[in-house]
Amino acid sequence: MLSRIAGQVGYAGLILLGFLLLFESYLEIPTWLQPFGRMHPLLLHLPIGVLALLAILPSVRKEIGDVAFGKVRNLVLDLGLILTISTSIFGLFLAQEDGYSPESLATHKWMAVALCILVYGLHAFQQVDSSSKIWYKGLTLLTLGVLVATGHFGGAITHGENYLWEPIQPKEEINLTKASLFVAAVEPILANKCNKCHNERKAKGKLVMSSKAGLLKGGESGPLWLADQPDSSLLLQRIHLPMELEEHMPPEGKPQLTALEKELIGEWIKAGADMDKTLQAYDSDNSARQLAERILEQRTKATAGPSYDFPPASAKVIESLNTPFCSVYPLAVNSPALAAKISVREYFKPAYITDLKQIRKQLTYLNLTDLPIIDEYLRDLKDFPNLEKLILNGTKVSSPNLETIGSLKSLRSLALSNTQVDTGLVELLKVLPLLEELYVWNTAIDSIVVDRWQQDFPGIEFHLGFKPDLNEKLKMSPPALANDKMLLNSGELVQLKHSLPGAIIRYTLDGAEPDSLASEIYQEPLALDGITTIRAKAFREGWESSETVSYTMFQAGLKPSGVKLLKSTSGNYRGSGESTLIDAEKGDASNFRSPYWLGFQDNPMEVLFTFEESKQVQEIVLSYAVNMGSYIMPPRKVEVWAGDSLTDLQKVHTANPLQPSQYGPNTVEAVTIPVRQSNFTHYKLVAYPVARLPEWHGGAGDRGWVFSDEVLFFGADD
Amino acid sequence: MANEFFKNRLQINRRHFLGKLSIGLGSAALGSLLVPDLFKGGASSSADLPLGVTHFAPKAKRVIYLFQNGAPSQLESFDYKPKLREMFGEDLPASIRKGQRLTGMTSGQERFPLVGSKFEFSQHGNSRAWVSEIFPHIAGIVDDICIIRTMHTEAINHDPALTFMQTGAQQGNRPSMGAWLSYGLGSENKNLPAYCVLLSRGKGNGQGVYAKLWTNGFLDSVHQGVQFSSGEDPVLYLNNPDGMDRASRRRMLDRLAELNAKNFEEFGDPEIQTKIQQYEMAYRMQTAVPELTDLSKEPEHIVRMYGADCLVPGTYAANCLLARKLSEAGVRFVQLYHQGWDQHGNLVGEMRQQALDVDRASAALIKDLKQRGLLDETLVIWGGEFGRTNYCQGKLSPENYGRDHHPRAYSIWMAGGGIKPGIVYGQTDEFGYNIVENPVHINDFHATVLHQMGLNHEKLTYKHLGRRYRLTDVAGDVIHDLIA
Repeated sequence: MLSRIAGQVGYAGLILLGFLLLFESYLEIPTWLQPFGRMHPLLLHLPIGVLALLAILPSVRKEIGDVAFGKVRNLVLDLGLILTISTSIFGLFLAQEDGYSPESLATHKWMAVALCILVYGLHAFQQVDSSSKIWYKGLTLLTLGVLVATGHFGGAITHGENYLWEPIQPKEEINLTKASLFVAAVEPILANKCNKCHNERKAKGKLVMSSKAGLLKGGESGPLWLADQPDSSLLLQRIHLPMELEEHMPPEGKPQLTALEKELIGEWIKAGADMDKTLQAYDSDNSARQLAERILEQRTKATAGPSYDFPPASAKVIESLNTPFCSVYPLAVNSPALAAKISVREYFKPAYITDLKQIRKQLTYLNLTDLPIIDEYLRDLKDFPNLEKLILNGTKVSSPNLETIGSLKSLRSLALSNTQVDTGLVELLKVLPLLEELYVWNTAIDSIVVDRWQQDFPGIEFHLGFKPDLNEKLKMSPPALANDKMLLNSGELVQLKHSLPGAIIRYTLDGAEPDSLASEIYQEPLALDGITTIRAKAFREGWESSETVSYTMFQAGLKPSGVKLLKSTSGNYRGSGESTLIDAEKGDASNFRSPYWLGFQDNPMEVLFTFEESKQVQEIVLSYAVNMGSYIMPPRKVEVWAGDSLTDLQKVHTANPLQPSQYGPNTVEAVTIPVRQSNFTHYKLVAYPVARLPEWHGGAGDRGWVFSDEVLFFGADD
Repeated sequence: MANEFFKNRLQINRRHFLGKLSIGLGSAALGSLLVPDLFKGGASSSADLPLGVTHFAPKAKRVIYLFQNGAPSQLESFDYKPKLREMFGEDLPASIRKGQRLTGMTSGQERFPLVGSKFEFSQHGNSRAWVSEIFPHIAGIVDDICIIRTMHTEAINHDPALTFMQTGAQQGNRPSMGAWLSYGLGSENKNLPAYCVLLSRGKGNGQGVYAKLWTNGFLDSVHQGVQFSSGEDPVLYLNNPDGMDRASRRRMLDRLAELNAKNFEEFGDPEIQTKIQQYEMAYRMQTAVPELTDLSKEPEHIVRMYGADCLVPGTYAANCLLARKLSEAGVRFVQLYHQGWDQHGNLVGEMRQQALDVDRASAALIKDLKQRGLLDETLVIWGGEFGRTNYCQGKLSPENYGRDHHPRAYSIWMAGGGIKPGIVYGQTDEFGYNIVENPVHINDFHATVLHQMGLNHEKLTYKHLGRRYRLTDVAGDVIHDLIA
């Protein structure tokens, strides 16, 4: 059944194909039919795959048996015929679109027609038992051959002739001195970015750019440039169009031209678009030539550093020289030049320098910064013919020996900053003809000497480095607290420190700003009494005073044996649990998320503290954070209850800490609650967060928070 | 079990062996006929280049990356746009915005009022570069640096942008720049890690930094950035505990290495080797690090150059000084993070303070490297992860304003390491919104940095999950105009 349909379709299709071919020149494909044409590259894989089975089937014939073989082969021929005819017709539609060169198309087209006829033939005579008829076998083979040929020529249209073998073919070297600027610089750009669609076989817009003639001729839209009007060149217009426009070349999705490439093409056209003129023939200041040279440089020389022609050192030697304290490495993967650095002052041995003699010829860079090297240790640095850079910053050299350092004839850069060298150095300069840079910051050599030397050695760049402006008044850094905790154990002292030698720290304990005249000078660690805010500032002669820093120091008190949160914390601010309040760790008000803080908003802070034995408590201190930006305010009310059991508590005191009237910095404050002399084992502390934030606050009306990091108990004798 | 497989493989008779041998040799011969260069193994082959050595002779040997975390505003630092002042309060034209996506913070705004810089700009040096008044010291070294005004990225929020800038892709868990360099080149000084990270925090609105930004990704964990602590002891627990001397420590490490080696033989886990190496390096660091991190002996003029903060551990200035010392000692990649540049609001107040934190020390670092002859071999980079919008976020007043994130154009500067000094590269439009000329994408930036370090960014690869990865992923061109 299928066979008959296929036969009809094939017959009709062949006639249609013939008709279309006959009147090809009058063909005009309507736009709605064009997508079908474009399906040709998609569809063609099917007949190839199906017809290929004709080659495979005979080899499995024994396995599947003759009957099955016959059935499958007929199916293959049926499908193959329908598919081949449809593909060819669609191909014909596609061929009407332009951009395909007639010659390459023609071969492919007629091969395809031949294929259609052959497949029709195979189909028509499928009843013939192919095992006995030789001519049928021959016809099958011929069909397969034509299939391959058709496919090959079709592929050549889209991908170019050399597509398969191109990667392994040797590339031609361009002789840069003899080649023209066009061939050396412009042509490779076109080859990479234009010629895939604008070559002899496939010429979009009927433009061929892969040949000189093609470039000169131009395409459908006109010539690429006009000899007398380089500025209005069509080529330049197209490559400079914005990416969004369809006419922009190269099209979106394909590799784009770089800015340099666009410039080069532009300048070359402006300079006359001469395809034969060599690089040298252009003036040296001609922009086209300069751009071309830059591009060539980028392409060939960018990755090649200076080339050295001495033999490389043995890998074994390099390996033996590489110790934890000495690093020897090549400058690049194929370079014989070596660089070396010796590290770690404490383990330096003069032998490390002597060992470098083994790579005397190959060493180009040696870094000996900050090592305890005296002039004598350098005596083995003699006659390193290729050493270009030597760094001796921070070493103990004072007068580098002429015989050793002076023998380094290739030396270009010498760094002696922060050493004891003096004006005697000039002798060395005389014997180092290639020296270009000398670094003598922080040495006995000053600008007067350098000015004199600059005249005698115009080729050397002298670097004296930074010279401090002694009139500039710098600002001091503030003093720092040496204690690691803000809570002092009994007997512990408060220590302040400053990293700058000669700094004078002045402090106050009463909350006043320290000044440079009246305030106490910090001499030794301080003993503080109770909760004290210490404010400190650093001063130094000739320097601006620092910012003021303030630290609120707490004293450690009696430690309760038990603590229990009667109401839970809010949000995620559970610190390290209830023991946060008695762990003697203080927090920073800016960092309320830390484990040192407990936060309460939904309910007041209600905590029960128990002592094993009844304690005489005179004062209870609640330490809390003030961070107004984060709605953390002082508690509006604090109550203390005391008793001997949880159910038997009496309110002992109420305090109302002062609320701020405007925004201020984040601080840690404390409220001290006096407790009448009482010996109790249970103390309950309740702190109420502000119910409504004040008017002046950005979140006026919202609920506030209470954050506490510690509750301290002080007895009669504290 | 392994034994059985092994024995099975050995049961091969002569016929099989010779047969297979001839096919193998034959195909090799055929290959060489078709492809003459097959066995040449020259640089033309795409085989991976060996590690630990540069592909070509580099200009730079080390990098110091001063990363300004949070994105400093380019309109208040290096990109002068007087037109914005003229158009104060006017809406950003749609023709300029061209549909750029907004963050959730400003997408709800009805208007996008333009606002120019409150700070004055002036031109400096031979390069006539425009620098704002809050960076006077950087303005002073403008002839040593190359300002790039046309960096651009696709990311619009901090995490993807930071990840992009540090690891070359917005998706995380790729190796960071320092890890790639450590992988490709190792450390010049075997007693220090190849990649060190120093953190500092300014008072401005800060965004976090986290280990993902200096991670080793899928590379060996020995390439991870080593974060130094910002306290008194940069490397914690470096000293031996009381009662243990160096010799005992050495004996202990030797025994430990023996045990680990045994374990390695049994399990073959490469991480064990890494661990052994790390112990060894830690041992050497015990000597090498205190030599460097002891800032107390710095001479007076160093302090005058960097500012008094340079002796206060944990500040940006101290980190700059430490960076110089680490780099001088051979650390391949030193990265500083200074947080606090995310000025969504109160830009005028906060940015002045932020600039004060970094201006003097950044310029001092360049001067310090230069006077020691190290600027040529050290590549210094300064910049953030994206720029800030030319329109105001939040309440606009003549005195104060905020700016949102802007990925399409931002400014960074580079110095040393073979970068062309004294130039300003790239041009944005007069609104400071779009790039007009010479865009530099993050991939291009990475390609250029690797190039200056002597590595071909397309050849430094690592095969992971079936494909080769590289820092620049599938993009990036070296920008030769930036190279001297």
